[in-house]
Amino acid sequence: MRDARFWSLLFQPWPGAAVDCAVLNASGALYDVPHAAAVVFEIFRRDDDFGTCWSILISIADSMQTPTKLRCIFGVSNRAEECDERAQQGFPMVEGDIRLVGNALSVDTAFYPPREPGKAASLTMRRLMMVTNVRWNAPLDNSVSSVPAQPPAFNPPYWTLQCAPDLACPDSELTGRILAVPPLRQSVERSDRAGRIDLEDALYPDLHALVGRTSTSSVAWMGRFGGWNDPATRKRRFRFERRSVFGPPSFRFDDIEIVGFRASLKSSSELVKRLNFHDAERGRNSPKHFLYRAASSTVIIELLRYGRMSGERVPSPFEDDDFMPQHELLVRLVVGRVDDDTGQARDAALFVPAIFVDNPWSKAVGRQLQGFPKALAEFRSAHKGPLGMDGRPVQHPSGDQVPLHEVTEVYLAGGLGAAAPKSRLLTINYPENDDGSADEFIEPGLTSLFSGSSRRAPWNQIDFPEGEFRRTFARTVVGEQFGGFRVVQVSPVYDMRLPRAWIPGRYTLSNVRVAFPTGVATLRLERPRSSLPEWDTVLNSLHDRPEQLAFATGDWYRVKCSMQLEFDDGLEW
Amino acid sequence: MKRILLYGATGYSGRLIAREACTRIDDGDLPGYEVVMGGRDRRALEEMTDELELDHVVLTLDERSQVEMVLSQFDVVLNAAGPFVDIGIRLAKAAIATRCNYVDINGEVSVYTMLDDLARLAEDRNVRLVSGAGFTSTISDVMLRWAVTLLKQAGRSPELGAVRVAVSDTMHLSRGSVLTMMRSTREQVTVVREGIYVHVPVGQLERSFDFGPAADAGEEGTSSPAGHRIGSAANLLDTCTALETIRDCGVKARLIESYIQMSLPVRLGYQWGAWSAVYSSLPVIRNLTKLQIAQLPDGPDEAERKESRHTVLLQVESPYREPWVDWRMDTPNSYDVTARTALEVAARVTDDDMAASAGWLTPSRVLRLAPPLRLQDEKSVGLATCPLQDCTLVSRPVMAPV
Repeated sequence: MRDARFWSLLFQPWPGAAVDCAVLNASGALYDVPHAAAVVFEIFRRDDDFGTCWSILISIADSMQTPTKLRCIFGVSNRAEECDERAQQGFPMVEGDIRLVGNALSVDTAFYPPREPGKAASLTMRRLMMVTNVRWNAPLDNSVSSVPAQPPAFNPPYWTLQCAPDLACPDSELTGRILAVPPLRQSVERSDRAGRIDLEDALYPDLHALVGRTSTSSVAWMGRFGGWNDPATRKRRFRFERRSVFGPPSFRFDDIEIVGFRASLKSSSELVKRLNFHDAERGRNSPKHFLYRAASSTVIIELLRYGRMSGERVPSPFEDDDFMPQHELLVRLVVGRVDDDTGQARDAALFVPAIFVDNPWSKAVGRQLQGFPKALAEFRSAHKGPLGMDGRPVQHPSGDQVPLHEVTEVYLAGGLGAAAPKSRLLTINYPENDDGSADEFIEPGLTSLFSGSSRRAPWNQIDFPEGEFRRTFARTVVGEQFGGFRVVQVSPVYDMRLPRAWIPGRYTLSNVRVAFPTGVATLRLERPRSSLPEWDTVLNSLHDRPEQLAFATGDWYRVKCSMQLEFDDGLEW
Repeated sequence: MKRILLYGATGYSGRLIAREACTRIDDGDLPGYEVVMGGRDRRALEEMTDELELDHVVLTLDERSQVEMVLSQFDVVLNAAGPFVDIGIRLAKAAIATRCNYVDINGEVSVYTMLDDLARLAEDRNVRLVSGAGFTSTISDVMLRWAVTLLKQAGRSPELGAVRVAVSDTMHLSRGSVLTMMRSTREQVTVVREGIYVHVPVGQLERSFDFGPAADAGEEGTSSPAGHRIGSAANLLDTCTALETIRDCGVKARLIESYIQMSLPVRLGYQWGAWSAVYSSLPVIRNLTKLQIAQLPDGPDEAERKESRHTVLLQVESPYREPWVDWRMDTPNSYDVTARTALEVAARVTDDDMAASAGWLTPSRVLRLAPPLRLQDEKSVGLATCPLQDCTLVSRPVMAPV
């Protein structure tokens, strides 16, 4: 770390400030925004070998002059890694494109702009704020002593809520604890210049409600940033009702396009290791007498485009039709719970060991509330370059949506924006004669299952050769694959000192149409430069060399459908 | 005042538990507790209230919210209503949701292993779950905890070779017990090998046990000494509670098995029942069987219970098959014992000193009874401590002195 600084801008709250702060975790529900004494925009900058890492934490404080704690209600960073580390500590963080434009700090991120008349609001990537009138390179006192003579004049810790779905009722309750996370502020001095914030109009998060459209700081501090100290637990673990911007845990997905590939596994135990977290627990009440096992040696690699993802019964300011789009690359396999005593598998479900999305909100919520180990990715077309969440080229955001069959490259993204480091994960080569438009989509049913190719579905009866997974188990999977399927994930994804829980749910599919293109498609899976254990495990588990996977007719498919996702209550009868 | 909801109070075992509660309250043996009867049959409950002067609450298990509302007013629900696969799971989940402790007298292994899936949730919500608080699992569980405690005190290996529980046969069964037996014949026998549940076919494991002088001699053959009887391995909950108690005590057992004393015709019938399970599970036959069982009386009357006593054996071997413990407990009738043990477990599970023990508990962990003898004792001890009053523990010589 070469140089690291912070700037803290304290603003008078907007009269009657109110914002539903349940942004990306439930922490906002606990905050008393209308009674905040100050709103703090704290900016952290850190230069390293990969460039400049910016983070902006927007918080409420208990005092304008001598705040003792900050409660972060929204944060943006241009580094996915930074977002993950802060999210692990309970900060509601999303990735954004943060860069200096002249002397102004520009912050682009995904948010809901105001709803246009007659149209639904949609999560969109664009500029959220500008920070100006800050001396980004002001000289600072370099005499940082290891034992400071007196504590810095401005050094409040962040109080965050680290939370994860409840063990018993993961659908409706969260369990969490409050942490005090102290940033290491050094050489703190009061700035003589008042920083200025210009906020764009937004339906959500409505930061106008905090400080107004344009605001000048009342107090400003700056200094050196020495990293984050270890958090201290402020309160015992407690449980509370789940509230998030997405409302009840019921989601609707429309305009879904999928292209899926059936690959063979040589081993699956590592892939499902995460599901068997209980096997390592030694507590008296730890679950015993069963393990989750992969039911089949077939793993599905799917590229998806969700045209519209919406919450059911969403709270204000949202309406039911408001949505967000995204691309997704996921790996999924069928697992079953095998009991020691019966040796017979049950509870067939899909498990997703690796998943990549280009929607930072989906990543944050999926990780925190649903147990999906989502990583940020960039989806590209060979001809049109990087694509936005809605499938339009980043270079031409008002252009036409690029068809999914033209999305041929997926990159692991270290952040958002052109400057963020990217490394390639996947390249798809479709047959030369396949342009995706000539596919004959048919409704799945007996006709489609028995016509033409021997492979007419993601899973077939012969994919379940082991005794434990034959008969009723395999029949359930094969019979329901186009009607819906159960899912099971494990939360928390982050390494927190919160109890782990299985998050069971169910996808229900509708309006399903399937196509089985002819020809051989190939995938090239690559290891990213930075470590990504989930993806490494997938690559190590494949039967064939991941650099060149070939899929004959019938081993890859296209699907169009709608979906509904609901999570189970563990105490439901 | 701590409140116990006795659910299934109008059933055979439930009535006995309710009467036991009434007697103990009248005698002042249950201070600080209020027992309320619960069930689906309003008329039967009203009649019992008139007879026993215990309050009642009518509670069908149709609506979760209603059940949770009722359970939230109690410290513990004691479930005596079967089938436990339906009622037990529902009540246990509702109990966890409302932080009410749960105790049942379930005797089915499959239900036990379903309920223990809820252990982690119960621990998280600081709720205690106890399944199998009736006969015979409570008796064998208490004996096993005594044995392991004494073995540990004697510095014996933390690993046990075999743990075997054997139960004398019974002539008088309640309708619920017959239904449970019918269901268990459709399953293989659950035993524990190296800490893991495995299934063995019915009839594969048979052993000779000495059930003591009370039994008749010589029935099985001329070579059998007096009191020796053949036991056939059966699907008893005792295997499950033994495994939990062994773990709870921090030791291991290579093998845990439970047996029921069976005469030759009964053994043949048992094996025939298992063989024909495929056919007897056909809906037509199953319904006919249920109709037949419905014709049976509720259970043994008081006189029949008085004349029918039971014997529970516990054998513990070293890893090298040396016998370490050979105990016999002579008990009153199984239903009377169930009434006492279930009520006592339900009462004690709410004790303040149980606060640190949330989650899945065995009856012996809740009862915390001190061993009445030493390991090297070879004697008969009459027990007077509730709920084991009228029981006699006989310690018999083992081959290798401890």
